Amino acid sequence: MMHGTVKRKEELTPVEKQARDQKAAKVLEMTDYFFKVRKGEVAAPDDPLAFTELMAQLCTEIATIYNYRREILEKQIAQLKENDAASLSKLIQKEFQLITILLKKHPKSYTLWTHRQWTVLQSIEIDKVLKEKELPLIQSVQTEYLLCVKMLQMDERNFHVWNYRNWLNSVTNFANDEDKFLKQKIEQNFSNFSAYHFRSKYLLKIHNNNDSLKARVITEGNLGIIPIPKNILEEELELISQAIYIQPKEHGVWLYQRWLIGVIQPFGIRNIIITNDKVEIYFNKKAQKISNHLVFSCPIELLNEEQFGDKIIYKKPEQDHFLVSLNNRILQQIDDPYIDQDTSSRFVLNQQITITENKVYGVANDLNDVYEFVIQTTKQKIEFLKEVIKEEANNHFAYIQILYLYRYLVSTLSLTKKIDDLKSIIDEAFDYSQKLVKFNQSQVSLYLNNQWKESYEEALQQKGGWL
Amino acid sequence: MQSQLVYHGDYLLSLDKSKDLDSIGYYLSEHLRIAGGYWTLNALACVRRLYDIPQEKKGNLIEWLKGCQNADGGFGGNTNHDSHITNTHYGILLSFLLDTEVNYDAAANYIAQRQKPDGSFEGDKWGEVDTRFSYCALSSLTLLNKRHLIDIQKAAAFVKECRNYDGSFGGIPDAESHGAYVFCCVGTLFLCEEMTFNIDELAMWIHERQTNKGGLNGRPEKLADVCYSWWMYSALCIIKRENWINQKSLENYIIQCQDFDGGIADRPGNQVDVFHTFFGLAALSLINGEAYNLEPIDPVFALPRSILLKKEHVNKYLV
Repeated sequence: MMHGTVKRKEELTPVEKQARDQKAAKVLEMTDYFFKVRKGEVAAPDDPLAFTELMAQLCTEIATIYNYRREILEKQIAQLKENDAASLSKLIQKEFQLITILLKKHPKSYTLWTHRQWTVLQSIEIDKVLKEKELPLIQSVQTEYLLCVKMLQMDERNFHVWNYRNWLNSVTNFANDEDKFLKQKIEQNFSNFSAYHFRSKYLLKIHNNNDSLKARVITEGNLGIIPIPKNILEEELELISQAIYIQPKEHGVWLYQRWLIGVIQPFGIRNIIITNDKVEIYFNKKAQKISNHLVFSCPIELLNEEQFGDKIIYKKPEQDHFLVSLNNRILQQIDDPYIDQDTSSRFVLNQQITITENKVYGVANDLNDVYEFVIQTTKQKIEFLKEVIKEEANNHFAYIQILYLYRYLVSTLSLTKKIDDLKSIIDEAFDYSQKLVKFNQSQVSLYLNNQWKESYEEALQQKGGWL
Repeated sequence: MQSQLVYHGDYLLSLDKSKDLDSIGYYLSEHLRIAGGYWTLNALACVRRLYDIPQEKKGNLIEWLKGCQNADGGFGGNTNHDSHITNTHYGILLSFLLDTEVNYDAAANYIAQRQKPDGSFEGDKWGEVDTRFSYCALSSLTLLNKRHLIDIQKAAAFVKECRNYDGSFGGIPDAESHGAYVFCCVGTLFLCEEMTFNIDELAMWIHERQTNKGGLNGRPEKLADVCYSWWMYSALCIIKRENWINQKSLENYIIQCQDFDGGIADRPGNQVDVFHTFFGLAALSLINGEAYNLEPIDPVFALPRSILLKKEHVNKYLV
């Protein structure tokens, strides 16, 4: 298929036609021969590696060529592993070189990148076995990062390169300054969404893992369980605020800011309703398998849990008095901190709710400082967006963003008891959604307006249903 | 400015005879012959010219198709090419379009063997993993009524790992969200009966893919391409949010991508090819098929609805 090829208006000249026909004939002849060799119908050439190299240069995209080449390489590697480390090293390095040359003309070829990954894996395996450590192949792998740098200079959005680089990080242990690299990419071009995307993955990987969280709780106390550390979050928010000022009409910068604020919003129980025979537990976000993470002080029977929902229904237990809790597992020193839900945030704060004679009592928050931090950070960014909206009165991104942030704020506030605050915030959000539909009647605007209208009406009737 | 559907029938019917090409492309794409066959015949079905293929030609195509199936049950991109899950999927789809049968049991087994412990699917025995392959597996095995051969829950779980905070999907976990992978992932999750993700967020992401000229791009700040009309509009049909983009503008963009002599290109004024011709037509069939007398192409299976209606076990998956 052709991408980005302008239509040729003239016929080929006779000279061009002849050249094309000659090339076509060569391709047909060589592929014909290649497949005969592959099927064993004719004898393989003396140097099958040289032959497949030729085929790869002629018809780079035929995957079967590389399958055959890998079969040959596997045999050669097995032989050379026994007694010839030097030749083995040379063999692998030549392979990297060949693929590099082919990638110049075909930078987005799945076939080539898969072959390169295979070559890296071979290098890693070979290093494990070889006793001569003076020619470790892993150093060749280190230079793979240079290839990535070069190719991203040619096309900073080439996802094959980004994925390959990300994969290298997972299979090797190079002290690679990922933070610096990603920041540089962003500073070179604030429109590089690929960089923001991978930065979000990087930040979570580094800061939101068991060991890191445990260490942070020791130094930062309760604030240590927020998925991104406070100081880092503040730096990133500053960076993206600048980007928004520079490029307010691009989708990417808004997405990254939205992630930064979204990822720190906790998941939790926002309401419990006791009826004659049921206990209905409502959460502030939709999730899967929430029941796995609730702990009751007495036996209780699960009646209904949606595959992906924000409420669970249990049968009311015999006891008049019982507790239900949702716990932050790091603070509880349990190993798995994650609750299975939408990937935007897997963050839970302790909640322990007492039910006595059908009345619900909210919990003591020994985590007030965390709630405060999250709520203040969100509010600050809402104020920032109000300023942006003054400058960019008809920029739908700014309105959608502020509405997202209001939604986050409401979702987190609903876990606390700040009802009055909640009502005035819903008022403001509804107002912005009305402004949005005035100048933008897309389905997205209408959808958001409807959502906030519902929230507004619920709040008026105090039907929001919060603890 | 164009405003109507160009006649594409002749362009499609004569593709294999058009050696008089401007580039060496035809000869270098022999590994794509089975995919090309599928795009061509499906496009012909869309413009209601499938039955204009001469009987002898059809017979040759059937024989050639059967020759693409290997001893391991999988199909290669052409005869003698090694098996791959994508080509196996194309082979199955092509067999439906040609109204013939291939060794479905063997093909199903080849596909089932590609599933890995984490639920993902590799393309072939060399191990590349991608949600394109998850889609090929779910689509093929549903069409063949062999879903029991794989672990559907795990397949869905892997695709969910490929969902990003922006509400959209990538090709592998950690990969950036991308319009073409939206089709693969939504199609797979739909067939797994696990549409357990925030649909409105996905629709909002897709909404932002529409550019000034009406066409859709694949990612933020990239250029529009007609093939994304299919990859994402089909997903909007599945999640029932078709009007979350400006349908008229998209329709108009596809029309502008046509060549007066037949065929559709990625962008107005560019070189046509059968891939973009098929995806442009298929998208049009969903957006406003009746106006252009196009046969509707199903958004999940990417085959004419009329063919799918004949398979009872498939009916519950037709949107």
